[in-house]
Amino acid sequence: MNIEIKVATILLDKANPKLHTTSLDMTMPDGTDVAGLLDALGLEDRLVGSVTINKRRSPMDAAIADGDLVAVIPAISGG
Amino acid sequence: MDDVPGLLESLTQAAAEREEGCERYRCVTLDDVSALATRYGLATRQVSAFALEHGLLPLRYVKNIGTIGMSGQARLLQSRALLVGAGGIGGTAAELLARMGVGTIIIADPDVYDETNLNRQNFCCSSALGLSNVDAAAERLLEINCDVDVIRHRIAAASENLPGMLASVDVAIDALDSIDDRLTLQQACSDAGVVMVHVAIAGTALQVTTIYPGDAGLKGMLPPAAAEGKTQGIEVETGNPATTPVLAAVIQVQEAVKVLLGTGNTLRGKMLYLDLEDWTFEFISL
Repeated sequence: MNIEIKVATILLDKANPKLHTTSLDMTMPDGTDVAGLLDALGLEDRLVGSVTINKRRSPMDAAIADGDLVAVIPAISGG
Repeated sequence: MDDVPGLLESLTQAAAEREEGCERYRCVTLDDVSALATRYGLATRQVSAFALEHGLLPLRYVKNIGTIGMSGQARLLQSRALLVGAGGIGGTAAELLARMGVGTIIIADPDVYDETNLNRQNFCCSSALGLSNVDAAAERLLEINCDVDVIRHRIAAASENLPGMLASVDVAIDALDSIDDRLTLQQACSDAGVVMVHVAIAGTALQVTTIYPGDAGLKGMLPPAAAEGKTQGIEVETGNPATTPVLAAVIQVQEAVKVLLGTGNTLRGKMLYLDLEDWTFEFISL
């Protein structure tokens, strides 16, 4: 399946390998969930605060479907 | 407020007409409010509130009135806000609450200023190093607006002391700096029936949401933060430059004012994620 991914700028150089753009298209196996996508991006769980599928916050085991827009937002907690 | 014999006559005598936009107001100056507070043995907040109740406008609030109205200003003066954290976000939030005229500001923070705070914390300056954040904020707030009653707690907010701090509070401002403390505050606010306005920052990014009692709020964050002992986010690596906490506090206090006045659309049920570096502006449904 093909999905569109937006990754927050702050996370680009935390991915492995590093990402160079905040918007990318990826082909993933059918049935991939949020946790699987973070694995594929090489992003550590501790750095991620929210993942949205089509603008809605989704848990780690939420399934991603073909054509979904997925956004990866960092965990931030500074004051 | 109960009638105070002679006060209305004194205020009316002191008031002067002023045109502001398309409206004309009868305004009383800070000097008049202060003098009448002394003469009648009242706090200036009581005199200001009494004036507003009787259609007289303390001049200090004249630039608020076109947006929130006389009744809104009176309501803010009667409102109580709990500010949890008086650091980068909290210092600016405290000042904005005072300038808006929120009548009672309860501040909780255990820290004292050190040099690493000088880049961003509103009341931190060279001469304040080593002073309590709460004391420095309280003293400055009283200089900014003598109508404000500042209640100081030089302690860390925790599940055992938050119920007391939240008693009779109308809104809570989350200006903390760790995920688990924020979850503790959310739970305490929910238990107390108090709306909490959450903001967090990292580098040039910020997030904000307004959480009503019973809402999921921060509990749906990934991964389940408390369970994994995750207390801080990516700000450990990005730091917190001077600009981001100020913008975060601006958005946060405007949310709090809307909550207090029951106006506008709040960020309930959604989180705004904003990055000033590239103008990412993302609304997340929670």
